[in-house]
Amino acid sequence: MDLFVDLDLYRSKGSRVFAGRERGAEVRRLSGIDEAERSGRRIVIHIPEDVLSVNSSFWLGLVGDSVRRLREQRFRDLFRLDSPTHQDVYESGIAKALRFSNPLAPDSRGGTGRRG
Amino acid sequence: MIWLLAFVLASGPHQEADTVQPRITSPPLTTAQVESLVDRRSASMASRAIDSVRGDQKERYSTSWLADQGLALVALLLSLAGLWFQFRERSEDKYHAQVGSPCSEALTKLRNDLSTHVEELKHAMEDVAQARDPMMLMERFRDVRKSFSDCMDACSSSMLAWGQVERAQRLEKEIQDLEDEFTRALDEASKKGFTDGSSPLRVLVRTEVGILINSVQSDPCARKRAIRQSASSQTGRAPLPESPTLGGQSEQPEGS
Repeated sequence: MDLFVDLDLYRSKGSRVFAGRERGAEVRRLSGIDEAERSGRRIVIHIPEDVLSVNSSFWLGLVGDSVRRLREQRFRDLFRLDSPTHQDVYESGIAKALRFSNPLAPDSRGGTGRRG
Repeated sequence: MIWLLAFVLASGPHQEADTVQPRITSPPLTTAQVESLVDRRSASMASRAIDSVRGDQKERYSTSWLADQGLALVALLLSLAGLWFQFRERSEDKYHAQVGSPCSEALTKLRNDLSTHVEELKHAMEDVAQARDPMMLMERFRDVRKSFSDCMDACSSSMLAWGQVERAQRLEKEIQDLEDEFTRALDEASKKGFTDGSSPLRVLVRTEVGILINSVQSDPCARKRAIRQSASSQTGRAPLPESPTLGGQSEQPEGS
Protein backbone atom coordinates (compact mmCIF):
# COMPACT_ATOMS: atom_id res chain seq x y z
CA MET A 1 0.00 0.00 0.00
CA ASP A 2 1.29 3.45 -0.94
CA LEU A 3 2.25 6.04 1.65
CA PHE A 4 0.39 9.28 1.03
CA VAL A 5 2.19 12.32 2.44
CA ASP A 6 -0.10 15.34 2.46
CA LEU A 7 2.01 18.43 3.06
CA ASP A 8 -1.12 20.31 4.06
CA LEU A 9 -0.84 18.56 7.43
CA TYR A 10 2.61 19.97 8.05
CA ARG A 11 2.46 23.58 7.00
CA SER A 12 2.49 26.59 9.27
CA LYS A 13 -0.77 28.45 9.60
CA GLY A 14 -1.32 30.88 6.77
CA SER A 15 1.93 30.01 5.04
CA ARG A 16 1.92 29.33 1.33
CA VAL A 17 5.55 28.36 1.02
CA PHE A 18 7.51 25.35 2.22
CA ALA A 19 11.04 26.36 3.02
CA GLY A 20 13.97 25.20 5.13
CA ARG A 21 15.96 21.96 5.11
CA GLU A 22 15.30 21.32 8.79
CA ARG A 23 11.57 21.69 8.25
CA GLY A 24 11.72 19.22 5.36
CA ALA A 25 13.68 16.72 7.47
CA GLU A 26 11.14 17.08 10.25
CA VAL A 27 8.25 16.34 7.87
CA ARG A 28 10.18 13.33 6.60
CA ARG A 29 10.51 11.99 10.13
CA LEU A 30 6.89 12.71 11.08
CA SER A 31 5.40 11.22 7.93
CA GLY A 32 7.29 7.94 8.18
CA ILE A 33 9.00 8.15 4.79
CA ASP A 34 12.02 6.20 6.06
CA GLU A 35 9.95 3.20 7.13
CA ALA A 36 7.97 3.19 3.88
CA GLU A 37 11.17 3.40 1.86
CA ARG A 38 12.73 0.53 3.80
CA SER A 39 9.71 -1.67 3.13
CA GLY A 40 9.75 -0.76 -0.54
CA ARG A 41 6.38 1.00 -0.54
CA ARG A 42 5.63 3.70 -3.05
CA ILE A 43 5.44 7.19 -1.61
CA VAL A 44 3.11 9.87 -2.99
CA ILE A 45 3.73 13.43 -1.87
CA HIS A 46 0.81 15.78 -2.20
CA ILE A 47 1.24 19.54 -2.34
CA PRO A 48 -1.90 21.64 -1.63
CA GLU A 49 -3.10 23.67 -4.57
CA ASP A 50 -2.76 27.03 -2.89
CA VAL A 51 0.92 26.53 -2.07
CA LEU A 52 2.97 29.02 -4.02
CA SER A 53 6.38 27.45 -3.60
CA VAL A 54 8.19 24.38 -2.36
CA ASN A 55 11.78 25.46 -2.08
CA SER A 56 14.75 23.28 -2.88
CA SER A 57 15.94 23.42 0.74
CA PHE A 58 12.66 21.95 2.01
CA TRP A 59 12.50 19.37 -0.76
CA LEU A 60 16.08 18.21 -0.14
CA GLY A 61 15.36 17.92 3.58
CA LEU A 62 12.29 15.85 2.72
CA VAL A 63 13.68 13.45 0.10
CA GLY A 64 17.41 14.25 -0.30
CA ASP A 65 18.52 11.23 1.74
CA SER A 66 16.30 8.95 -0.32
CA VAL A 67 17.72 10.24 -3.62
CA ARG A 68 21.28 9.71 -2.36
CA ARG A 69 20.49 6.27 -0.99
CA LEU A 70 18.34 4.92 -3.83
CA ARG A 71 20.00 6.80 -6.69
CA GLU A 72 17.96 8.39 -9.45
CA GLN A 73 16.02 5.59 -11.15
CA ARG A 74 15.02 3.75 -8.00
CA PHE A 75 13.95 7.05 -6.45
CA ARG A 76 11.77 7.79 -9.48
CA ASP A 77 10.25 4.34 -9.14
CA LEU A 78 9.33 4.83 -5.48
CA PHE A 79 8.55 8.54 -5.12
CA ARG A 80 5.84 10.48 -6.90
CA LEU A 81 4.97 14.14 -6.57
CA ASP A 82 1.25 14.72 -6.80
CA SER A 83 1.35 18.26 -8.18
CA PRO A 84 1.91 19.28 -11.77
CA THR A 85 2.76 22.85 -10.76
CA HIS A 86 5.82 21.88 -8.73
CA GLN A 87 7.39 19.20 -10.90
CA ASP A 88 10.44 21.44 -11.38
CA VAL A 89 11.29 20.94 -7.69
CA TYR A 90 11.16 17.17 -8.12
CA GLU A 91 13.44 17.21 -11.16
CA SER A 92 16.01 19.74 -9.99
CA GLY A 93 16.00 18.17 -6.51
CA ILE A 94 17.43 14.93 -7.89
CA ALA A 95 20.38 16.68 -9.50
CA LYS A 96 20.99 18.81 -6.42
CA ALA A 97 20.85 15.87 -4.03
CA LEU A 98 23.34 13.89 -6.11
CA ARG A 99 25.66 16.81 -6.77
CA PHE A 100 27.70 16.45 -3.60
CA SER A 101 27.05 12.80 -2.89
CA ASN A 102 29.83 10.28 -3.18
CA PRO A 103 28.58 7.10 -4.92
CA LEU A 104 31.05 5.04 -2.89
CA ALA A 105 29.88 6.41 0.45
CA PRO A 106 28.28 3.78 2.72
CA ASP A 107 24.85 5.43 2.76
CA SER A 108 24.79 5.58 -1.05
CA ARG A 109 25.22 1.86 -1.67
CA GLY A 110 21.62 1.01 -1.02
CA GLY A 111 20.67 1.04 -4.68
CA THR A 112 21.93 1.57 -8.16
CA GLY A 113 18.66 2.38 -9.79
CA ARG A 114 18.54 -1.06 -11.41
CA ARG A 115 16.95 -3.00 -8.59
CA GLY A 116 13.35 -4.14 -8.70
CA MET B 1 160.29 -20.31 -25.78
CA ILE B 2 160.08 -16.97 -23.97
CA TRP B 3 158.47 -15.52 -27.08
CA LEU B 4 156.04 -18.41 -27.14
CA LEU B 5 155.23 -17.97 -23.47
CA ALA B 6 154.84 -14.26 -23.91
CA PHE B 7 152.68 -14.81 -26.93
CA VAL B 8 150.56 -17.27 -25.02
CA LEU B 9 150.27 -14.97 -22.03
CA ALA B 10 149.60 -12.00 -24.19
CA SER B 11 147.24 -13.67 -26.56
CA GLY B 12 145.52 -16.06 -24.12
CA PRO B 13 143.13 -13.66 -22.45
CA HIS B 14 142.55 -11.77 -25.62
CA GLN B 15 141.91 -14.97 -27.44
CA GLU B 16 139.68 -16.09 -24.58
CA ALA B 17 137.91 -12.76 -24.74
CA ASP B 18 137.46 -13.18 -28.40
CA THR B 19 135.99 -16.57 -27.96
CA VAL B 20 133.94 -15.94 -24.75
CA GLN B 21 132.58 -12.49 -25.51
CA PRO B 22 130.13 -13.64 -28.16
CA ARG B 23 128.62 -16.10 -25.62
CA ILE B 24 128.10 -13.39 -22.92
CA THR B 25 126.74 -10.48 -24.98
CA SER B 26 123.91 -10.52 -27.46
CA PRO B 27 124.68 -10.87 -31.02
CA PRO B 28 125.25 -7.55 -32.67
CA LEU B 29 122.04 -5.77 -33.33
CA THR B 30 121.01 -4.70 -36.72
CA THR B 31 119.90 -1.19 -37.44
CA ALA B 32 116.34 -2.33 -37.83
CA GLN B 33 116.44 -4.06 -34.48
CA VAL B 34 117.86 -0.99 -32.86
CA GLU B 35 115.20 1.15 -34.44
CA SER B 36 112.52 -1.28 -33.33
CA LEU B 37 113.93 -1.29 -29.82
CA VAL B 38 113.97 2.48 -29.75
CA ASP B 39 110.44 2.55 -31.10
CA ARG B 40 109.23 0.13 -28.44
CA ARG B 41 111.03 2.02 -25.74
CA SER B 42 109.70 5.34 -26.91
CA ALA B 43 106.25 3.85 -27.43
CA SER B 44 106.30 2.56 -23.87
CA MET B 45 107.44 5.91 -22.58
CA ALA B 46 104.86 7.65 -24.67
CA SER B 47 102.18 5.27 -23.44
CA ARG B 48 103.14 5.95 -19.84
CA ALA B 49 103.11 9.66 -20.51
CA ILE B 50 99.69 9.42 -22.15
CA ASP B 51 98.37 7.33 -19.25
CA SER B 52 99.69 9.87 -16.84
CA VAL B 53 98.06 12.71 -18.76
CA ARG B 54 94.84 10.73 -19.08
CA GLY B 55 94.70 10.06 -15.38
CA ASP B 56 95.21 13.70 -14.72
CA GLN B 57 92.51 14.55 -17.22
CA LYS B 58 90.16 11.98 -15.70
CA GLU B 59 90.57 13.53 -12.30
CA ARG B 60 90.08 16.98 -13.73
CA TYR B 61 87.13 15.79 -15.78
CA SER B 62 85.36 14.17 -12.82
CA THR B 63 85.73 17.35 -10.78
CA SER B 64 84.43 19.43 -13.66
CA TRP B 65 81.52 16.98 -14.23
CA LEU B 66 80.47 17.27 -10.61
CA ALA B 67 80.63 21.05 -10.79
CA ASP B 68 78.53 20.99 -13.97
CA GLN B 69 75.95 18.70 -12.37
CA GLY B 70 75.81 20.90 -9.31
CA LEU B 71 75.24 23.97 -11.42
CA ALA B 72 72.57 22.16 -13.43
CA LEU B 73 70.86 21.12 -10.22
CA VAL B 74 70.92 24.66 -8.87
CA ALA B 75 69.54 25.95 -12.19
CA LEU B 76 66.81 23.31 -12.10
CA LEU B 77 65.83 24.23 -8.54
CA LEU B 78 65.77 27.91 -9.42
CA SER B 79 63.58 27.16 -12.45
CA LEU B 80 61.21 25.11 -10.32
CA ALA B 81 61.01 27.84 -7.70
CA GLY B 82 60.30 30.37 -10.45
CA LEU B 83 57.60 28.16 -11.90
CA TRP B 84 56.06 27.69 -8.45
CA PHE B 85 55.89 31.42 -7.81
CA GLN B 86 54.52 31.96 -11.30
CA PHE B 87 51.93 29.23 -10.70
CA ARG B 88 50.83 30.85 -7.44
CA GLU B 89 50.45 34.19 -9.14
CA ARG B 90 48.58 32.71 -12.07
CA SER B 91 46.32 30.52 -9.91
CA GLU B 92 44.60 33.64 -8.62
CA ASP B 93 43.98 34.78 -12.20
CA LYS B 94 42.78 31.32 -13.15
CA TYR B 95 40.48 31.22 -10.14
CA HIS B 96 38.95 34.51 -11.18
CA ALA B 97 38.48 33.30 -14.76
CA GLN B 98 37.08 29.88 -13.88
CA VAL B 99 35.22 30.47 -10.62
CA GLY B 100 35.06 34.08 -9.48
CA SER B 101 33.87 35.49 -12.77
CA PRO B 102 31.22 32.84 -13.64
CA CYS B 103 29.87 32.82 -10.07
CA SER B 104 29.73 36.62 -9.96
CA GLU B 105 27.92 36.65 -13.30
CA ALA B 106 25.46 34.01 -12.09
CA LEU B 107 24.78 35.91 -8.88
CA THR B 108 24.47 39.22 -10.71
CA LYS B 109 21.98 37.58 -13.06
CA LEU B 110 20.11 36.25 -10.03
CA ARG B 111 20.00 39.74 -8.54
CA ASN B 112 18.64 41.21 -11.77
CA ASP B 113 16.18 38.34 -12.21
CA LEU B 114 14.84 38.73 -8.67
CA SER B 115 14.33 42.45 -9.15
CA THR B 116 12.37 41.63 -12.30
CA HIS B 117 10.40 38.93 -10.49
CA VAL B 118 9.41 41.38 -7.76
CA GLU B 119 7.98 43.68 -10.42
CA GLU B 120 6.27 40.79 -12.17
CA LEU B 121 4.79 39.63 -8.89
CA LYS B 122 3.39 43.07 -8.28
CA HIS B 123 1.55 42.85 -11.59
CA ALA B 124 0.54 39.24 -10.91
CA MET B 125 -0.90 40.30 -7.56
CA GLU B 126 -2.90 43.00 -9.26
CA ASP B 127 -4.21 40.42 -11.71
CA VAL B 128 -5.09 38.03 -8.88
CA ALA B 129 -6.81 40.88 -7.03
CA GLN B 130 -8.83 41.53 -10.13
CA ALA B 131 -9.87 37.87 -10.04
CA ARG B 132 -7.88 36.90 -13.04
CA ASP B 133 -5.82 33.74 -13.29
CA PRO B 134 -4.43 32.78 -9.84
CA MET B 135 -1.96 30.47 -11.57
CA MET B 136 -0.01 33.55 -12.59
CA LEU B 137 1.16 33.97 -9.04
CA MET B 138 2.42 30.40 -8.89
CA GLU B 139 4.16 30.85 -12.21
CA ARG B 140 5.98 33.89 -10.85
CA PHE B 141 7.11 31.86 -7.85
CA ARG B 142 8.23 29.12 -10.19
CA ASP B 143 10.29 31.70 -12.08
CA VAL B 144 11.86 32.73 -8.79
CA ARG B 145 12.73 29.09 -8.02
CA LYS B 146 14.21 28.66 -11.46
CA SER B 147 16.38 31.75 -11.06
CA PHE B 148 17.73 30.48 -7.76
CA SER B 149 18.20 26.99 -9.15
CA ASP B 150 20.10 28.20 -12.23
CA CYS B 151 22.34 30.33 -10.06
CA MET B 152 23.07 27.41 -7.71
CA ASP B 153 23.85 25.14 -10.65
CA ALA B 154 26.24 27.66 -12.24
CA CYS B 155 28.10 28.43 -9.02
CA SER B 156 28.33 24.82 -7.88
CA SER B 157 29.61 23.51 -11.20
CA SER B 158 32.30 26.22 -11.33
CA MET B 159 33.45 25.56 -7.81
CA LEU B 160 33.34 21.80 -8.15
CA ALA B 161 35.41 22.04 -11.33
CA TRP B 162 37.93 24.02 -9.27
CA GLY B 163 37.88 21.29 -6.60
CA GLN B 164 36.26 23.40 -3.89
CA VAL B 165 33.64 20.93 -2.73
CA GLU B 166 33.09 22.32 0.75
CA ARG B 167 32.92 25.86 -0.53
CA ALA B 168 30.45 24.89 -3.25
CA GLN B 169 28.25 23.21 -0.64
CA ARG B 170 28.45 26.23 1.62
CA LEU B 171 27.63 28.66 -1.18
CA GLU B 172 24.72 26.51 -2.31
CA LYS B 173 23.39 26.48 1.24
CA GLU B 174 23.76 30.26 1.44
CA ILE B 175 21.85 30.67 -1.81
CA GLN B 176 19.18 28.28 -0.52
CA ASP B 177 18.92 30.30 2.70
CA LEU B 178 18.51 33.43 0.63
CA GLU B 179 15.87 31.70 -1.48
CA ASP B 180 13.97 30.75 1.69
CA GLU B 181 14.23 34.25 3.08
CA PHE B 182 13.23 35.81 -0.22
CA THR B 183 10.32 33.43 -0.76
CA ARG B 184 8.97 33.94 2.76
CA ALA B 185 9.28 37.70 2.36
CA LEU B 186 7.60 37.44 -1.03
CA ASP B 187 4.77 35.44 0.49
CA GLU B 188 4.34 38.03 3.24
CA ALA B 189 4.58 40.88 0.76
CA SER B 190 2.02 39.28 -1.53
CA LYS B 191 -0.37 38.95 1.40
CA LYS B 192 0.00 42.67 2.04
CA GLY B 193 -0.67 43.35 -1.61
CA PHE B 194 2.82 44.71 -2.21
CA THR B 195 1.93 48.12 -0.84
CA ASP B 196 4.93 48.23 1.48
CA GLY B 197 6.28 44.76 0.87
CA SER B 198 8.37 45.24 -2.24
CA SER B 199 10.85 47.72 -0.82
CA PRO B 200 12.33 45.37 1.84
CA LEU B 201 12.52 42.70 -0.85
CA ARG B 202 14.67 44.91 -3.05
CA VAL B 203 16.93 45.74 -0.13
CA LEU B 204 17.19 42.06 0.74
CA VAL B 205 18.14 41.13 -2.80
CA ARG B 206 20.62 43.97 -3.16
CA THR B 207 22.45 43.42 0.11
CA GLU B 208 22.37 39.64 0.41
CA VAL B 209 23.29 38.90 -3.18
CA GLY B 210 25.92 41.64 -2.97
CA ILE B 211 27.53 39.87 -0.02
CA LEU B 212 27.51 36.58 -1.91
CA ILE B 213 29.12 38.22 -4.94
CA ASN B 214 31.89 39.63 -2.76
CA SER B 215 32.46 36.26 -1.19
CA VAL B 216 33.07 34.51 -4.52
CA GLN B 217 35.25 37.21 -6.04
CA SER B 218 38.59 35.92 -4.82
CA ASP B 219 40.23 32.62 -4.18
CA PRO B 220 40.03 31.82 -0.45
CA CYS B 221 43.50 30.30 -0.69
CA ALA B 222 44.91 33.61 -1.87
CA ARG B 223 43.03 35.49 0.83
CA LYS B 224 44.29 33.07 3.44
CA ARG B 225 47.86 33.49 2.21
CA ALA B 226 47.50 37.27 2.29
CA ILE B 227 46.16 37.14 5.86
CA ARG B 228 49.00 34.85 6.94
CA GLN B 229 51.63 37.02 5.29
CA SER B 230 50.13 40.13 6.84
CA ALA B 231 50.10 38.48 10.26
CA SER B 232 53.66 37.26 9.89
CA SER B 233 54.92 40.66 8.77
CA GLN B 234 53.30 42.25 11.81
CA THR B 235 54.58 39.70 14.30
CA GLY B 236 57.88 39.03 12.57
CA ARG B 237 57.14 35.30 12.66
CA ALA B 238 57.30 32.84 9.81
CA PRO B 239 53.99 32.35 7.96
CA LEU B 240 51.77 29.62 9.33
CA PRO B 241 51.47 26.45 7.24
CA GLU B 242 48.35 25.93 5.17
CA SER B 243 45.86 23.42 6.52
CA PRO B 244 44.94 20.62 4.09
CA THR B 245 41.30 20.39 3.06
CA LEU B 246 39.21 18.71 0.43
CA GLY B 247 40.56 18.72 -3.08
CA GLY B 248 43.85 20.19 -1.93
CA GLN B 249 42.26 23.57 -1.52
CA SER B 250 42.26 25.54 1.66
CA GLU B 251 38.86 26.54 2.83
CA GLN B 252 37.87 29.65 4.65
CA PRO B 253 34.52 30.70 6.01
CA GLU B 254 32.93 33.34 3.89
CA GLY B 255 32.46 36.81 5.15
CA SER B 256 28.73 36.69 4.75
